[in-house]
Amino acid sequence: MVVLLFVALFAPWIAPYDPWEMSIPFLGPSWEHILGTNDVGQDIFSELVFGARTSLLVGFTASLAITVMGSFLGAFAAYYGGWADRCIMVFINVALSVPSLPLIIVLSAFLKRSVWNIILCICLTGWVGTARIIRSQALRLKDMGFIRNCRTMGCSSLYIIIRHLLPNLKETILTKGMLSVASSMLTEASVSYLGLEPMTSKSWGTVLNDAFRAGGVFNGYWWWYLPPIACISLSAFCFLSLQEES
Amino acid sequence: MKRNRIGIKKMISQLLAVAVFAALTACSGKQETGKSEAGIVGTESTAEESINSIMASQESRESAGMPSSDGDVELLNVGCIYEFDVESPYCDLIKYLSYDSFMYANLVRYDENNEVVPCLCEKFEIAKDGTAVTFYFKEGIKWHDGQSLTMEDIEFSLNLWLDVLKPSVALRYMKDVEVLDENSIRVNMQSSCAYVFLRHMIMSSAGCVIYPKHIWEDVKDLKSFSGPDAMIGCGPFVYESYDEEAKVAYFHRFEDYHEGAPTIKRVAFHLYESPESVVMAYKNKEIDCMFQYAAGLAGIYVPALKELDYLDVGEEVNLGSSILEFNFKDELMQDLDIRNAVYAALDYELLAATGGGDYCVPGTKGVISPGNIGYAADMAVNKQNISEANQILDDAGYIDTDGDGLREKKDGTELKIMVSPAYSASKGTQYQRLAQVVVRDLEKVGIKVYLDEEVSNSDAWKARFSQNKDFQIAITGCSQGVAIIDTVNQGLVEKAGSDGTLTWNGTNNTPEYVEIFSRIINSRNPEEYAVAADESQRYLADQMVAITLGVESMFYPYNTADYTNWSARNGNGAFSYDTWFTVKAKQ
Repeated sequence: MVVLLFVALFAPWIAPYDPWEMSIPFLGPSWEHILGTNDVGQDIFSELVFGARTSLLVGFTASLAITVMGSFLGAFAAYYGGWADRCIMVFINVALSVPSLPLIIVLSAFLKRSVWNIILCICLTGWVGTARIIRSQALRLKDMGFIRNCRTMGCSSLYIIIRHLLPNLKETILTKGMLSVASSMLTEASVSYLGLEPMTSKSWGTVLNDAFRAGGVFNGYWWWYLPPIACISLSAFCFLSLQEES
Repeated sequence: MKRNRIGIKKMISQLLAVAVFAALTACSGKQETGKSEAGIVGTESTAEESINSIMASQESRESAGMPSSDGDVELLNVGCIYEFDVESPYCDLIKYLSYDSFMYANLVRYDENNEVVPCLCEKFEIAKDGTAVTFYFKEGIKWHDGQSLTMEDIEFSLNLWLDVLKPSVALRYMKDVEVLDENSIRVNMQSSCAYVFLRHMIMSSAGCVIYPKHIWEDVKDLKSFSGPDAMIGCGPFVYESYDEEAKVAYFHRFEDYHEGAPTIKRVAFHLYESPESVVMAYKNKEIDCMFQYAAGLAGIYVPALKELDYLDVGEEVNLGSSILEFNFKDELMQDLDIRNAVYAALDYELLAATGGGDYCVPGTKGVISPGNIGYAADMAVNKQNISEANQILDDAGYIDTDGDGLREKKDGTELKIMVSPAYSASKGTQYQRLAQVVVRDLEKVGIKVYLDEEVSNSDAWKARFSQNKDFQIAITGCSQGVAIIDTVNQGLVEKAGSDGTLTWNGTNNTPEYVEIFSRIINSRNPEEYAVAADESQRYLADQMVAITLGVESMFYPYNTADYTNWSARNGNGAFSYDTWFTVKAKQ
């Protein structure tokens, strides 16, 4: 995990080449290009190094948005109950019944190609799982003594949710957050593998997509298609392991 | 009690396990491509003949996979990237198959050298002044439902083209249809374009084929009429069924076809989403050849295909090519200096390698590819010259005035060019990669360039390229068919024709260019066509209307381990009209 963050942060210093610089296409691994070059002569290793940035950017940003939105709406629904709870739950159930990956793919195909649009698409359906779990946990907490005391003391609902309810659910929120990072990274890889990312974007999914579309997979250029798979799997494994720890 | 409960649970779980196992076994049955009963599910045939044919084909299905005693092919599996969305001549697959008179046929067709030859007519004659073409009726042609083709069918169909279908290109030059006697019919043209008209009628995307009058005369809305009756043609293959789940369309041969029955008893078209899926199908030996009009596989797949012992890769030169097209509606692109600078800035070696690996080389000035009629062989090969590009821009006044490393326009405002890669199922990714190389090269000469990210689907591309025409540089392609019919100019010129008002697919309407293209359309014979095509190439080079991004080979692999006597036609590969009558199963 530390290595991944380090690579993403210091990509310009770690990558031996500018990943957008083009030279001789379809070169195999050599000391000059340790993972060879792609169909437009870009250094594949440098693409992977810079790809870590996109993957982590999407993973962390989408996860942050999903966690904040899901936690707040879940806690809000549980605390207020009644119509507010019912409305939010209807919304959650509807969103849960929509297959998220196809929806993301369709939205990405019709929106302008951009990393931010992909993050937006991931967030659109990603928050509901978090909201549902936080709601159920918050329902348990809201009738406990310390919350009742706060209410008796005249604390505002917003204050109680932010200062008392959510902090007491931090383990659950953190766990769901970690899971969201992993799932967002995997979704980003899927979307970019389908060629829905910006054309010049470098992510592990786009490297894999290039390998597939330009014959790398069929021609057995393992140095082109295996490394991005390994990167995606390892990073997802890292976040899932962190979630276990937390 | 507890023991009983455990016993019941155990029994239920065992039953469930058996049920799951049975379900998995049923689901895991290997998909028998064209050999299973699934092949006839999904449609009802109304005509008795069709039922008989299906019965006959069911019998042959039982012996599929075994060479028949006469060497005829029992079942040929063909891969393609088309949709089979409706049972009608307007379905994608049928439309493109009709170019080769597969199920629906036409009065003329291409032979293996792409020369126009009679198909549903005895012969045809072009008037000396090129303003008319006369077709002579051929006896003994039958529709798939057993009825005979009549002169009325031909007259009905030609009038249908003229009055109802209103095709988008050269068929619009039809003036009227005249029945001369019971054996001949004449199509009069608005200008002397009969020679080019014949090519257009073979490859009309508007569904200009010969229709059975007895079925279509009462149809009110042609485009929405579908079903078994809409699939009755008089070509060498009869529609059988479509398996929607497996995405396989089945046809069997027409025993009464007027040029003799094909040597292929059944054809199964496996519909795929992308060229990658087609390559995968070859690797799995699901298909024996492919059908994709003017769009064979790119050279980048050849190393993988060459590993497959059962295939010949079927290399042929693409008479079309990927092209960079300037929009003459755009003020900046109207400047010849900008166009010449773009031409000099591009790295043609890398563009060629990106487009087709080892099987693509830089093209020449003037866009038209070698092999086309009228190709000017003395044109310079495209070559990058960065210093020349810089010089052109400097001399023209496109200089960096604010010191940011990027050039400004002559009036000092920002110089910015958008590069739009075409959206295409079969070549979209290639266009995107070519666009990236173009962007890189133009940045090298100090031009601010960006990729058009808004074109992410087919509708967006149509809006950009055809309707709004608000692109600046488009990375697109001239198909082999267009190259053969009336040259790449069709996609570059805006208006041309006898009265100069007919709309074509491009943006350039300068009088000189319109006049040259009108001469191509109005050429009365191959010689006139060649002269006009040569002249157009020189104009395209001088005025830098567009740039070819590589002359590539394309590949139509075919199975040589099990079948022999394949014929190939440039543009269709091995699955061509001639192959249907020559290919044999190896004994």
